Amino acid sequence: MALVTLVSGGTRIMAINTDAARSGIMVDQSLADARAICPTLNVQDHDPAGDLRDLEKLACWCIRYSPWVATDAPDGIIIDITGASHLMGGEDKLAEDLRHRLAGFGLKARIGIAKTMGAAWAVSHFGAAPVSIVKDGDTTTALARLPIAALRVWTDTSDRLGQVGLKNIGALIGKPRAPLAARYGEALIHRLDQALGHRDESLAAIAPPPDYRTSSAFPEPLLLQEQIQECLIDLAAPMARLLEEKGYGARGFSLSIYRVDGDVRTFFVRTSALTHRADIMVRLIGEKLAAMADDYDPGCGFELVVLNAHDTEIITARQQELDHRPGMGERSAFDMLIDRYGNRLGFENVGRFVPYESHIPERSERLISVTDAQTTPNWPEFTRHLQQGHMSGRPIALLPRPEQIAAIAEVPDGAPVLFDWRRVSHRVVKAEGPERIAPEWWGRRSQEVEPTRDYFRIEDMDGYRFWIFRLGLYERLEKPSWYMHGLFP
Amino acid sequence: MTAYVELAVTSNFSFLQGASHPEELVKTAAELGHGAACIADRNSVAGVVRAHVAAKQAHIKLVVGVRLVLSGGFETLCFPQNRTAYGQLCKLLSTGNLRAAKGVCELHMADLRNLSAGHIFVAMPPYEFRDDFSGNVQWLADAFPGQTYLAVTRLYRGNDESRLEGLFDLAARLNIPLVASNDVHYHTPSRRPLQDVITCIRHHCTIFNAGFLLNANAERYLKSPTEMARLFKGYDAVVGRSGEIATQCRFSLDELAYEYPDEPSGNSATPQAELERLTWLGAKRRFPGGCDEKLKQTIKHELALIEQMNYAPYFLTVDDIVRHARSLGILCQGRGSAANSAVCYCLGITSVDPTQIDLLFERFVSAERDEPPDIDVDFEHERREEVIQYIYTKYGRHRAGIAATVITYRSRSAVREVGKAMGLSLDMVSAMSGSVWGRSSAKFNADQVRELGLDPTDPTLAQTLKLVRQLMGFPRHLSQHVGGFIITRGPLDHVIPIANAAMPGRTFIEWDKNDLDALGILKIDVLSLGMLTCIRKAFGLIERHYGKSYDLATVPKEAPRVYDMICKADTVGVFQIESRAQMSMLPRLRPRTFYDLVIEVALVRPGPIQGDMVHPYLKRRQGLEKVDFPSEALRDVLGKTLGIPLFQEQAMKIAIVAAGFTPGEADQLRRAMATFKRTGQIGDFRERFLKGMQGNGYAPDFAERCFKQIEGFSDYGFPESHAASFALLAYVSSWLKCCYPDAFACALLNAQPMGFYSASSIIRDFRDHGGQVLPVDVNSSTWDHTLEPLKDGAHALRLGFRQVKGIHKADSTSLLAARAGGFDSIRDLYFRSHLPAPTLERLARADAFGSLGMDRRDALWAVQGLGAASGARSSLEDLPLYANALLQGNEDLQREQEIALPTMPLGEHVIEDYATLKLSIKAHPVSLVRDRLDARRFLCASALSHQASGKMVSIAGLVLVRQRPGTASGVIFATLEDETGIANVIIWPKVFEANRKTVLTARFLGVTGMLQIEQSVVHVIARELTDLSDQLAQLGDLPAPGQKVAGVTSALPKGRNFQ
Repeated sequence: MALVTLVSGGTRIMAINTDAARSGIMVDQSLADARAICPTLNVQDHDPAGDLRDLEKLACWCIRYSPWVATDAPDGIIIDITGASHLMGGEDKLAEDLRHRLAGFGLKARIGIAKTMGAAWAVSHFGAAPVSIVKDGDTTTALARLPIAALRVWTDTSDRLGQVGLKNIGALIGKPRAPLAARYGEALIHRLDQALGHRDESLAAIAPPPDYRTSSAFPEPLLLQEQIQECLIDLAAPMARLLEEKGYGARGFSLSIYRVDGDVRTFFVRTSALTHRADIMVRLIGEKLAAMADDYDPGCGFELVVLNAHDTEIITARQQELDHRPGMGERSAFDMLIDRYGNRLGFENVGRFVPYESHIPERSERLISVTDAQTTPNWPEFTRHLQQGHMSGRPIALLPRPEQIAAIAEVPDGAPVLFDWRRVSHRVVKAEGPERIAPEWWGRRSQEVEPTRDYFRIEDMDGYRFWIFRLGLYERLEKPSWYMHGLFP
Repeated sequence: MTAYVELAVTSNFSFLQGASHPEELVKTAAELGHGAACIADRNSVAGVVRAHVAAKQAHIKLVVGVRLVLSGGFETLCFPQNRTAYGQLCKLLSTGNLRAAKGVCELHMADLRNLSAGHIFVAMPPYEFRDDFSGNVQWLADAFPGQTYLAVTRLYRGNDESRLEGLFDLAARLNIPLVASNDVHYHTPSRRPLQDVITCIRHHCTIFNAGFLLNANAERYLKSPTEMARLFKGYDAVVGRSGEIATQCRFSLDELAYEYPDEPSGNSATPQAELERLTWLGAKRRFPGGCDEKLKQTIKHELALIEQMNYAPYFLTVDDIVRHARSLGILCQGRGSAANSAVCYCLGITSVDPTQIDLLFERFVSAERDEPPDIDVDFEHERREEVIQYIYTKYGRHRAGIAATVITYRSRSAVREVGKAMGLSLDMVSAMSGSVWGRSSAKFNADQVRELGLDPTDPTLAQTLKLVRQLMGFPRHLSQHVGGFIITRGPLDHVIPIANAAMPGRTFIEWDKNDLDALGILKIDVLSLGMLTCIRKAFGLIERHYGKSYDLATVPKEAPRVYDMICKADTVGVFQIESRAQMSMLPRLRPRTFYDLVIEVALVRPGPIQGDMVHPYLKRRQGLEKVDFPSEALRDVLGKTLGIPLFQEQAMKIAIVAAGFTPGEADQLRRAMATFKRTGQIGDFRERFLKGMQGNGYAPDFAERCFKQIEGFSDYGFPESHAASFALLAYVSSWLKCCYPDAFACALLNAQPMGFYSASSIIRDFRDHGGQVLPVDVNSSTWDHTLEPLKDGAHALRLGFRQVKGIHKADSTSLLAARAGGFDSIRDLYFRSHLPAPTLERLARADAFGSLGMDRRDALWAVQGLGAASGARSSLEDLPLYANALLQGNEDLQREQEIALPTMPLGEHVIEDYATLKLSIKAHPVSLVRDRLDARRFLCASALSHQASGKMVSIAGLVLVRQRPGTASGVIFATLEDETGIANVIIWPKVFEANRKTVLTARFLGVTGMLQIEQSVVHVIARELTDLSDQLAQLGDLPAPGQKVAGVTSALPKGRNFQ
């Protein structure tokens, strides 16, 4: 398996797994070369931004070992375990625990523990064993055996040092510093000192994403459902303030109630748009609470109520209405209606029609879940587009499926003059068309592609207007048949 | 019935718009009974010549047009009624092309004012009328009263009637006539899927989200006149008008009766007289003893034919170009159909002596076929640009232009583009376009698809494959031809539109060489050839160091020691006969005369190999098989080649003599072959050829082989005259290698990159022949490699700075300018040459300070101490005070503490040599691990020939080349090199599959297999392969634990790969 990216001059390999490496694939190879070596290579797109996000996530997870965690992009994490390792039973135990847990995620880690960040980096990247622990007094000895590259210097620097025969860190320790600095830069000396601990190095610890949570504990357990409802109102207000201050909104909330005997019940609600409004939280969660009425069982009462916000994101505050009434415009009211239906019926059960670019009438709109419909469709613009600029009109609603009719029409492409639909005869007085729509040929077998349709707008003697089509073309010997597809008002 | 003509026809030369070839459209129009065929591509006439040829074949008139797409979006067809009008249209398109980037034509309404000589315009209404459309039509009607029409279409859009009414209103209001059209984009409705897909490719979207970018139906195909009459029932005049328009457009491409420039006839009355004068003058120069009667007759005969065809100016043009090149000291050599004539020899266009090889002039200039002569001239690759500039200066950019090459979709690009449009994943697309299918002639079949782990029954995949097949051969874009010049008497842009090329300052015309050929337009190929550069440089060195002057024609002919050398396959670096395949043929063919070389050059080529003619020829030559002829008629044709057809002319002659083709048909066959690769179609020629031959009593097997060979020529047509030109260069380069190995090696290195072998191999070969090579040195080297006299009269080869990685010519120039009496220290060099420290570091890495007594490592340490850490010149030293102090040798200021550096082992030196020079003269890397190889019973390459054939042997060496010739059905040939020489390894596909990684990635390869020796050609048939790269990785210091070793081996040659 290899990850690739498109660069000028072709597709290049950016990362590989061990299987690929065993087959002789190398990073920075062109995909064509790689395929020649291993034709069965599995290839996926390289996503460095996603890697970085995941690395940050993993770094956050590492906070379990110490609050001081930093990412070392692209593939490293630095943890300052000073004073923290004894909590895990010592450095060996910590390393073992970390390796074990990461293996549980399917990650193969190399771990280095040392007195300095530089030394830990060096042994983790260039040490012989997957876990290298350097005892405090051994730093210099441990480093001496490692190549210059272990000092976190530019490849160019380590290469140039290698050319004059200075290949290991040991070759630099104790050597006059001025000639080295003059040739390879202060950075080399700096890195050497950092690794040996002659110079401090600070760690830019990551901050985990804010956690939004409000809770009330009750020494005297709550028993009544109304009390929980009140408690919800009390928690919603500070939550709303908390979110608003940070400029965040949430797409979901949960209320957890902890019974004295350890039982916990959690009520989840979702919103279709980011929000930080207390009234929305109260209404949506309140409805869930109310729905519980039948099997409400306080037991010995509830001692803790916690309100959590989920899926938080920065919200770009919409400007308030000019008259300073809270934004209860039409749109917002509609959103709230959707939210209520959604939380009651399940969001997947509340749908909305959106236009879909297809010439085939029944495929030109789609029903999708409201949560997926982010913008309001512009139907008039779409309809205009659909007919290449002329508004000859299509029925607003189509029949659930086209109904076959009997019709008499001029061959090959004339409009019908007479047709029977649902056992009633219609004589055509006006017709417009045909609008010829060819089938969508892609993605299906040729025998599954249905014939071309010729649509006509028809008006009968009584002034009723219909949209009917002929399926199949005479010139292609397709034995055409006629269908009713929709009615005009 | 009214003669209907479809005027709005978009072919696939409107790139990614039309979905049919011009030929298909013309053929269909003829079949449907249209009054005429028509092509009107978007701002281009690139497809009209093909249409013109197809129209002639289908016996239908062709109306040449262009669909002018203006910057505002307004579109109108434009049809020139006569030659002048056509010229103006070309000029207009040129203007539009030249003011925009490559591939774009930017035209404005106002530009149309330059059209004044009789054009017919048909305005194309968009689906959605906007106000500006009627305004534009009005403008057009005002500007071209009586010549402007408005097109009406019925494309089944649902509002055809009302739209028609709108157009009738508009036409009535502006008082312009309407004409019916179907706005054709393909010749048959079944091309709709392809049209949809190219639309997706154009818009960079997939078929699934293309939506309304696609057309609603498949109506824009060529409809029959009856159908059009039915569609426009009641508007008969509108349909009939299309025929009237076509009748008014009388311009035909045949009128471009080629206006060849007048060549100054010099001292003579006519060009013909001047040509004759120059020819006889040349004959005297070429044959100082006077030429014999036979030759005189030949010359007279050729001159008469040239006069009859009126080609004298063309020969004079070529002569002039060649003479000019020669005056600049540029070596050149003509080839191509007419080049190896006695006349061209006398004029100096070719150096192939007509008395040495007997070529019939009629084969090249044929009166009955009225085919223009074709002379290609190769120039030194480094100096061809000077020749091109001369042509531009002499004729002016307005009269000289480079032909186009039509870049078409090949399998790989078609798979990639169609796959993307069909929404296949990047992975699937690259799997499909990957190495498995290789070159374009390969067809995709279900088994191959399954091999890739894909499901051939998946409908999307099946459709993709079908569309890929359709798209293959479609033109993709135009590019400039490598060197095909056309020169006209009048302004070029009145004959054909000119467009910008990607290279700045370059322009090319819209037609390719087949188009020019079809119209009988003369062109001259100004090509470049690396070997000419090498030969010229070698001649120069010989003159300088040995005081003898030679040129291509004065090199001693038929020297036996040269042929001795060739027979031993001792031909590294020699033109053409240096490849592995050629080398293995030489000891079997044992060429002893110039004509043997001609055959040798022609023999190892796809044509004869594919036609399975090589072994029969060898057998006959070695006397193992009787020389007989399939028939008396073929004795004439095949006499010179022992009854085996080897040259393209012979194959064509067979078509005439044995298969009953007329010369014209044979010519068509040749043309079909030329486009075979592009279209994959050979028509019914195959059947006619085979039937014809069998009908005349030839064995079916022989007929089959002859035709296969013709197919092979489609890739590289190789006529006898080409072979003769190449053989001459092969002979001259062999002569140089044999007589002046030092000059040859030096020149060859100075002409790099070219040829089959790397600098390292050339140097190795030179040293194997007793040559001495000196290292790059700041006190002795120049940019080029040079020769330094030795005591015994021979010369040593001093490596030049051009061999050092990262050193540019400007660096070398500043160094040489400052060198004068030489540099006595690095510091001296640094301050006098003003070269930046990183440049000196590169020289130090290349070990170029030997004359200063410093080895690589000491020099590097010293050089690194010069600059600031960044590698830039340190600002401190630039202070006048310090600079002064330093110059006066006041070392105290800079004296620094000493650091003891470890000495560099030889292995590391060698690896560094390879990293910086791509070769090492200190030692061969393999020699450093020889004791370890001995322990594992690996033999030296030189020891192989002393072993018994059929024995199992092991050898090890650096991988120089891996080849998988298309003619060898998957067999891989690898060339290994050790310190004693080169070994050839054959890897069968099965062994390759089992050792893919090793074969493709190992730089140092161990091979165990069966030795095969046949007529001193040595091969090892691989059975086991081992990647020994690790062995070499240890040549440097032992890497520290955990350190990756890739860096060390990466200095070694990667081995050129087939791909």
